[in-house]
Amino acid sequence: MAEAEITFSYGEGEDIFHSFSFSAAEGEHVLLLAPPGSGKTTLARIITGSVPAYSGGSLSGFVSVCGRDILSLPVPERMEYAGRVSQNSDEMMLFSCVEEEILFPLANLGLAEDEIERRLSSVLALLGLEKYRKVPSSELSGGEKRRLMLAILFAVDPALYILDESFDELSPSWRRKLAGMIHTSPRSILVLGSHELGEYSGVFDRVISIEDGKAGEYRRTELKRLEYRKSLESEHVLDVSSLSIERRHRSTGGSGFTLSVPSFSLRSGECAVLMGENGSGKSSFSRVLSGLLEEKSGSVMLDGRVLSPRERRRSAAVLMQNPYEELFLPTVGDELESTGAAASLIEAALSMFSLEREWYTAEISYGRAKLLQAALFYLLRRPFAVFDEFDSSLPYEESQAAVRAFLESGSGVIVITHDEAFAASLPGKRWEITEGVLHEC
Amino acid sequence: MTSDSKNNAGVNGGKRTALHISLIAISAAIVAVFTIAVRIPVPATSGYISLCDAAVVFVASAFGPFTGLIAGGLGTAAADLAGGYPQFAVISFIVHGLEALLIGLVTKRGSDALAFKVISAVIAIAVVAGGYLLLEVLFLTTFPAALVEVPMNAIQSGAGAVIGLVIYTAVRKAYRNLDSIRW
Amino acid sequence: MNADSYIYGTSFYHRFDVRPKLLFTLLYIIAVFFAESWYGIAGIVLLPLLISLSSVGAAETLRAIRRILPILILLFVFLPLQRRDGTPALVFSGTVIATEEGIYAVIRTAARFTALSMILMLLLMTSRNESIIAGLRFYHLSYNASIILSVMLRFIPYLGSVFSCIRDSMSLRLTEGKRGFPIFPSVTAFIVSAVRMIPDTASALEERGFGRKGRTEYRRLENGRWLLTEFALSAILPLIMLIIFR
Repeated sequence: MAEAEITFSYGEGEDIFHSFSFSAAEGEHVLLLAPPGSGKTTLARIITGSVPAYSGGSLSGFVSVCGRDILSLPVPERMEYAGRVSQNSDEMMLFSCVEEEILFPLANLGLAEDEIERRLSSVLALLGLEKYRKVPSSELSGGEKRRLMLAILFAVDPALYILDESFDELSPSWRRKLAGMIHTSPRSILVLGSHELGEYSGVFDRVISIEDGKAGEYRRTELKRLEYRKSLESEHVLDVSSLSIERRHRSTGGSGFTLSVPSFSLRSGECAVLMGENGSGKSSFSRVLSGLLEEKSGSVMLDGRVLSPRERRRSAAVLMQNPYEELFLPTVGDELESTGAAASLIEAALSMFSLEREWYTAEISYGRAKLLQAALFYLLRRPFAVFDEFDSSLPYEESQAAVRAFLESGSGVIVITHDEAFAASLPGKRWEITEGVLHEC
Repeated sequence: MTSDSKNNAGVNGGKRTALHISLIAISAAIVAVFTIAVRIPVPATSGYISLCDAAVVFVASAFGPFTGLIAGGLGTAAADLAGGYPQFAVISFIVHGLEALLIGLVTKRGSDALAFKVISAVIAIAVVAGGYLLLEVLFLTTFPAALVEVPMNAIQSGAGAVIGLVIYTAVRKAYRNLDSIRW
Repeated sequence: MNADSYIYGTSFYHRFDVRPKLLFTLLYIIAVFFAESWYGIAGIVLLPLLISLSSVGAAETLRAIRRILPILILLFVFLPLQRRDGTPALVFSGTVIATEEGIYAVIRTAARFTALSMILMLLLMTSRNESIIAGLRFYHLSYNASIILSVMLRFIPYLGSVFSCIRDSMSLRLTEGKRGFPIFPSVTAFIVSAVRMIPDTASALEERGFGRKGRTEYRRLENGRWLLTEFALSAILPLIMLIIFR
């Protein structure tokens, strides 16, 4: 049904894939688990056509879907055969309004108007986006954007679905729903991921991996509980009291969210886990802690002293959901040197986070971009750090190693995650947002 | 099937409409954001210099005169519309489009020569300051009222042109694929 | 940063179909340039003012006026320089400050400027960008041009947020004792991130089927009961103004 064997390299570099082969029968659901930088996204892009058409590189081999070698088809003609959900939703967003985004590919398919209407309303319902129909995509949260991208794929309904880390950024309840949708789908589905999730169990027919550019076997690793040596270097306390945050959907005149935080506290070298539905205000809370967003009322205190937003910027770091929002210098080395840290510390951070100084920031994978983001804030040594869905696109061990590095250096860490298993592996208190209130559970 | 990095058009059968659309739309958005958001405070006059000309010149020198014409014009017009000054949109389109077209025609890709900076600044000043004066007098305001804007427009466009070329050199260094996007 | 000035509402001008609204706006602009009598000068300002008050309210109307105020003030400040050779109207200790012709010219220019600004602001405040583009399509704006406009409108607020993100994260990285954010590196970083999106967006367009044959021309503007009436009104009103306000 879907079959491929490809060899590929970007420009002058070494082969990303060397006779990599893969197949999925009709209705078969395959999970591909591999570490960041192993070529998962490149594989998705090769199948749908953006690589090499927009990246350059040399590709040989074939990808056949429904008996047709789709590599010989122009990119737009491939949409009935294969479609992907990118792990970076922003990179695939084209229009200013949710509805337009879904209508565009359906009109391009040449469907009749009533069929377009039918598919539009059915995917809006399927992914819980009805109330956002006319909302600008810029007002959506990370999880809502991901659901929009999934809605587009389900509306187009190609023969082969490729979901690139699509469970990331979805809340546990949406992860379960997505797993259910995959399970009952009659289509061939390839899910790309960097670690196993509880929600995956019973959904997939096969699990595969990539090893040195070839198809390989996936080896399970146990998720262990995070242990760390507590640093005694500094003793700071971050206190939040009667905080209230408000965000509005400007376009519809209301219906955004409000979040209230009656009280929250964290000490140096301590870990706290924060969970909550998509769009409940987790990222907004972290932006308030680091002074990037103004609260409506309430206070944030360091060691009993109320901090202005400007002072908070040096007290709390945020590792934002989308790492590219914080990376913009030409190379990995330039990024790390911009922190002003000593050369020996930079060397240590490079090896700690498995990075190479010469890599171009614009060319590294999403997962490696997250590690670079971690290295950057690790060198900045802020007393507190928020990991906003850092664990997505990374194997558990790497996410845990990053959290451990921060904790052992004496930072207090807040981990925002949707992953129940990962949350359970972390030490410290657990917090949750339910019905607009952040509370301890 | 093999596709070579130098032959990007191969897969699409030579049709690159999608790339042109994306190039023009995003360049125009860059110009609009520069016009609205990127401002350098001038302590002496407690006002701001908008960097819109820097973006127009960047787009013209990085992506050529035609993209510059459309994106420079569209971006500044969009900024006028979005910023609440729709009456200037058409004038901005013509003036900045022309500015980008001329600068795109004279600048050589990758050249860092001082001469280009000077020529670009002269073109920018002449086209922007002169263009606004002429068109505003014809359609919107009176001669003396339009004359008031001339010195500020001249400073802004002249400085903008030089800054735009400096940015171009810096961006080209940071993003290796810049040249491959031009058409 | 927002790329639209749309203000949510259900007023008569909000519900006025965008196609006749575009026609009305264009014809009105033409009519504005022909208004010469004192009645005409008052009329071209009053009409958009009334529509504005009834559709977006007093506060938004005032905001729009406040934006054009500096230029209006400038026009009147330079009044003495207008038409020095005309009939003296304002004389102060023997010096002619303004002539009748000068006053007339300035008031007419100010009215024209106000009318133009208001009628265009009204179009933008009462129609969503998507429907304006759909309306332009009705007047045969090419499909590719309409895609350029739509994609640009998505990227203006998005790149605006990217720029503030870069500024924010530059400020999160600042070492002790420094304030603000470095402008030049931020601007360069911003352009690099934006330019990187060009191939990604082109690819997204194609992966969603841009360039396929047999595309459905999906109609999003409904032909309501009043459409013909609205078209007639949009054509006749400016025409009447043209005739009686000359």
